[in-house]
Formats: sequence, C-alpha cells, structure tokens
Amino acid sequence: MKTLVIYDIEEDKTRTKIFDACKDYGLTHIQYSAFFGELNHNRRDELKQRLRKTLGRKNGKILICPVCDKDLRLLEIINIEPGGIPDV
Amino acid sequence: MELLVTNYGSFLGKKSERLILKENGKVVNEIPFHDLEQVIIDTPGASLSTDMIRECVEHGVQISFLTSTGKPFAKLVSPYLTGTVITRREQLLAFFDERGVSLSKLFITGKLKNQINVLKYFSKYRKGVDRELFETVYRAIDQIEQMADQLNGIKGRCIDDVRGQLMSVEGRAGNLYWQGVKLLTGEKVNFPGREHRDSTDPVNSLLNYGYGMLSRQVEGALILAGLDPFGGFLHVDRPGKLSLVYDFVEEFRQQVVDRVVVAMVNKGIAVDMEEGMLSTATKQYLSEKINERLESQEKFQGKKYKLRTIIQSQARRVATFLRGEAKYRPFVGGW
Repeated sequence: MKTLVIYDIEEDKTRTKIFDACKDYGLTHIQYSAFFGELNHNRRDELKQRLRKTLGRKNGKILICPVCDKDLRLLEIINIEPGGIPDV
Repeated sequence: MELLVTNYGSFLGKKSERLILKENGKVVNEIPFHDLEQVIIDTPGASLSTDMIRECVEHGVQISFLTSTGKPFAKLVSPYLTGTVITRREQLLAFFDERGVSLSKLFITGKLKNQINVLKYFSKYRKGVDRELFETVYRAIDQIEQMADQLNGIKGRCIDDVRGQLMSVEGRAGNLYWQGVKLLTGEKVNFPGREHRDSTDPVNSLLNYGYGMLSRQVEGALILAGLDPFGGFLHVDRPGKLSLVYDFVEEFRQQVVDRVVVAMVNKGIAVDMEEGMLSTATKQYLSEKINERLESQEKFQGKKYKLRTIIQSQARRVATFLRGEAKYRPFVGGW
C-alpha cells in the first residue's frame, strides 16, 4: 500500500538518519521532511521499528500513514517554486 | 529490480542500505538492496566497492559481468552457495535414475503446454477476423496437444534411455509451433522459421537476445536454489555448457520471450539491424519489454505472482523434487 511518512525532528543528525532510513525503504522524497512510496504491511512495520529506534528519546514526531488508491486519486498538488523538489 | 550498468567509468558503492550508482562523481541512481535482484555490468571501466559487493552477496544479488557481445565472463556470488551438498549430490545422482526421466518429461510437457497457450493467446482475436488462419493454427494446437499426451507413454530407467524419444517429440512440436508463429506474424515481417545460432534476420535475432536474457535470469534462480547449473538431464554434458539452465528454461521461453517478440512484431515496431546484429536501441527496447513481462503477474498455484518470482520458486521446486521431498509441476502460463 502507498505510504506517506512525515516527520518533525529537532536534531540535524537524527533527521539525516531518518531521511536515510526512508530512502533505504525505497521511498521518494516529495517535500522537506516528507516521503512517499509503496510499502507492504511488513516493510511498513519494519520501518516503524527502525524509525522508533533511530529517534530514541530525542525530541521529534513521525507519522507513518498508509493511503489507499481511491483516496490517492483525489491528490492535488500546487507547486509554484521553479526548480523545486519534483512531484511524486 | 535489475540494475544494468552500461556507462564507462560508472562507480557502484553503498550508502546506508542502498546501492549508489555514480557517473562522473554524481549520483545517478540509488536502489535499496532489498528491491534489487540482479546487477549486470555491461561496460569496461566500471568500479565497485567491496562493501557494495558484500551487501549484494548477502542479499543474494548476483553481479554479472558481460563482454561487449553480451557474453558473461564473470560472476560474483557467495562461496557458500555451493554449500547445499545434499541438493547437489541428489541432482547429480538423479541423472542415473528415474528422477532425471520424470523431470525431463515435465520440462517438455511444460514447454508444449506453453507453446499451445501462446498460440492460443495470439489467435484468440483472430477467430472472427481470419477464420481460415484461426483454424490452421488450431489444427497445429491439436497436434501439439496429442504430442503432449504421447509424452506420458515414454518410460525408461534413466535419461539416456529416453533422451532420443523426448527430443523427437520436442522437435516435432517445435516445428508445428514455429509454423504457427510464422502464420501469426503473417506478412508483417519476413520470418524464415526458427534458426538457433548466428541468425541475421530480425525475428530470430530478437528471440536469441531474449533467450540470452532469460537464461541469465534462470541461471541465477538455479544457483540461488542451491543447484548446479551445469548438471542437466535432457541436454547432454559438455564442459562449459549450462545444461540444467537449458533444461529448466524450456518451460519459460514461450511465455516470457516469444510472447514479447511476437507482440513486438505484430505491433509493427521497427527492428533495426546493424551489420547483422540488433541495434542498441532495439536491444534496449526489447530488454525493457522483457523486464516488464518478468514483472507482470501470472496465475500460479491458485494465486497471482510475478513471473520473476515464479521462476525462482520453480527453481526451488526442482531442488525439492530432486531431494525426493515433493512432486514437481511445470509452470503453464495463461492465454
């Protein structure tokens, strides 16, 4: 199922680690602090545990949100910045 | 996912749990090792890092090196993949008993059934359009079906007793099948019939290139299943000949390669030739299409799986069959 991962993390080093973990799971970087891509139930759970471990007791909040295809069809993008981060 | 490295001076490295492909010092591709199935290096002057090699080997990803003509000259795999002693011992012993006979029969049965289904697949829309052609193809299909039934009657104590008979059925069915293919491709292209090696006509060149790709896939699957790709049954031993690969590939050729090639021809896609060889653009197009086909799903044991996954699980089944743990049933694709 398509999954959206978004995070707010204070510490730079931890944020980079979270960023790397998302890429390791084949997700696409769609915005600053937001990733999107296909993950099955198991992979999503694995990622959750890895992110929890990486964050440890440091300040931050991570959301892992599965999105169904039906809802995804309603996706709207407003993008104005030229040379910004490419769309999904 | 399969990574094909074709540019001179590419560098393959590892970052976190991803493979990084760099060209001129710039990252051009990043693939998680989890999603990677094969790395093919088709260029001189590429370099690899050792931790990338290690990660590939641990994930069962093979790294193959090809010459400019597409012939593999080296391969990196774990030294422990040959540690599957029981499987390999049984595989070699099976050559002398009935296991070799039944496995060969099953491979050929699978091949014939897939030939039938591929012919059916391409003629199903012709029924209303060209009745005569449809009926000619179906006559061939009926004959191949009869041959598939004849296979059951072939009995022997070891593969050497029945090889001739099996090959004869296979050959006759093959003739009918290629005649059928010729009819189905019609005037779209000049297809002189199937030629095996060094052919210079477009269709045979496409088929040969496609079979090469498929064989690499199949070889990888057999090695991962702990089998020896050289220890075949139907194809006789010769130093350097991947006999088991040739045996096992039979049940996949039609569904993976022939279907793609016939579809390409029927769609009227231009096949460019350069000095009797396929042009680079054609090769790329074909390999893209074949990879798409490997990723597409087919019904297998009541569920849908990617063809790539089916090949791997069939290779494991060959191993379990040879160890005497379970029956083997050839893969037959739909139509």
